[in-house]
Amino acid sequence: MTGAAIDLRGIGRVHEDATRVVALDGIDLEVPTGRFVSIIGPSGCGKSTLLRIVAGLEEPDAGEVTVCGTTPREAAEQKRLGLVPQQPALLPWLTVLDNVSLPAKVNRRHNREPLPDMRELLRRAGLGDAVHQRPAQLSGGMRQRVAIVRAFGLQPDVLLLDEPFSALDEFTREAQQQQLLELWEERGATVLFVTHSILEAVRLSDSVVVMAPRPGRIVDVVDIDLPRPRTQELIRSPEFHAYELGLRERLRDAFEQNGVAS
Amino acid sequence: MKRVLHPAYWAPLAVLLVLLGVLWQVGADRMPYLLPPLPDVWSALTTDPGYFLHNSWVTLREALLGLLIGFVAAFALAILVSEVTLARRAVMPIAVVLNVTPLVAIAPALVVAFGFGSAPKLIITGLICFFPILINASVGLRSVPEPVLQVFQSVHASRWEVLRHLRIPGSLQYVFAALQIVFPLSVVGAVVAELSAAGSAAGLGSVIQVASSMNRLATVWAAIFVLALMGSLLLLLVTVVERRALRWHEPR
Ligand SMILES: Nc1ncnc2c1ncn2[C@@H]1O[C@H](COP(=O)(O)OP(=O)(O)O)[C@@H](O)[C@H]1O
Ligand SMILES: [Mg+2]
Repeated sequence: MTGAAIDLRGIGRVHEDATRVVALDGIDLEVPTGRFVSIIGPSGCGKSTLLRIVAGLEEPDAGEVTVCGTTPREAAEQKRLGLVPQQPALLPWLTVLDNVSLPAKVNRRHNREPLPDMRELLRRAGLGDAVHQRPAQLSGGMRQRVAIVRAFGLQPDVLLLDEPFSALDEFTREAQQQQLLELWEERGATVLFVTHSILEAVRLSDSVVVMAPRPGRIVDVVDIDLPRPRTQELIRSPEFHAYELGLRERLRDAFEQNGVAS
Repeated sequence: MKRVLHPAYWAPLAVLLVLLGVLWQVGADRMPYLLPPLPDVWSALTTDPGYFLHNSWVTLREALLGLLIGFVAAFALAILVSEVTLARRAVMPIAVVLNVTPLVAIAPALVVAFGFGSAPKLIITGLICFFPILINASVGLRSVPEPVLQVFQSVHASRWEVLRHLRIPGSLQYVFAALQIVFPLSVVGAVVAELSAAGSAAGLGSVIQVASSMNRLATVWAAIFVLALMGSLLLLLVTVVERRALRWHEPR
């Protein structure tokens, strides 16, 4: 497929509760196929809401969503989506292998044949020894990796991740980022990655979408023109720092605009 | 399991049991009309073991059959109630009210309606088991965390698939908690029904009723001890099965 994997036009969303928070307002975003795009912004700016709309878990109140040329629900039905929520969301009574194999057992008609060898995927994610363990026996970082392997096992066209590494320590986080990149480069999926870490966004992304709260909106899209792989050396380079500083600046603007407006 | 064999584990219980036995004997000496001497109870049990065995079996069968009926009905209704909001709003308030109604009180009415056969016993036992299972199972079926549901929604899992892969396995923990209550309770249900059916032919409840009308205290107490044993064994059975079924629950 060519063109945009994800196309958002004029998306608005107001949560139906007492606060009537405008979670999203006038969101336009086009994510070309195969790109790694991060969404960054202070908490409460609607990042998760946006992701849920792309995943077809929530309907926008205004605007149009297209995922792989169809509606999100159709994309879900055709098993073109892989979702990694903020918590690993594993089933405690299943082993690691059974957990990652479960999505292939539902909605079988639309499985992408041939199914990948899940043991092999787990092994490559460093979970070879944990195949028959249960989630309770794993560390937080390992659980998150299981959730990522589960999503990759679907061989999705679009991978949606909501702050998957935010609960991890700096060290584990770096290793996980590396593994995510390896899997992504191999499969060539389009990735929408929510984070609130500037470093993480610059390190991983082809472009970074900066959002601001109240109402949740996009204030900037920054393309990261850095070569891959992004080595430690590159991360310490002035170019990398320039991107970090630029993003930090944009985020501060977003905050201050909001402060003046309200 | 080894731990259980260590004296530090069983000695306190043994000492207390001996103490209670002695107290019982002292009581029996002073008030022979209230407490039969323990040797009498023992001989009541052993002179006709077939009698107790037969009546125990009758009561146990009523209890387990009633429990099975109550379980199937309650679990089916729990699934309906957890899947259909309208059904939940209609059924749950009634279930809660019925739950606080002493079902023991309707036993005589059921005997009048259904006679001395096994029907009223199964109904009472089933009803007593019904509500703890309904309430726990319907909570358990709805206990699947939202993010897990979202992952399955994102691959377009059908309602049936969500039920089969997420909701039912996720409810087991809650269902077993109910079974812990309901297994011993099923014996209570069966005995109450037998006691209410004055002319019922068999079961430990009838044994108690007949023996107490004839002032045979030793037999009454023998039946009570058998009932206590039966309830305990049932509880032990659920606990063992639960350990095996929910092994994932305790990380090794
Ligand atoms: N289910 C919900 N019901 C009501 N309000 C919600 C709900 N989910 C999110 N919100 C509100 O919408 C706004 C955006 O939330 P969210 O998308 O979770 O932001 P983020 O992921 O960027 O932290 C917040 O103000 C939040 O309080
Ligand atoms: Mg969020």
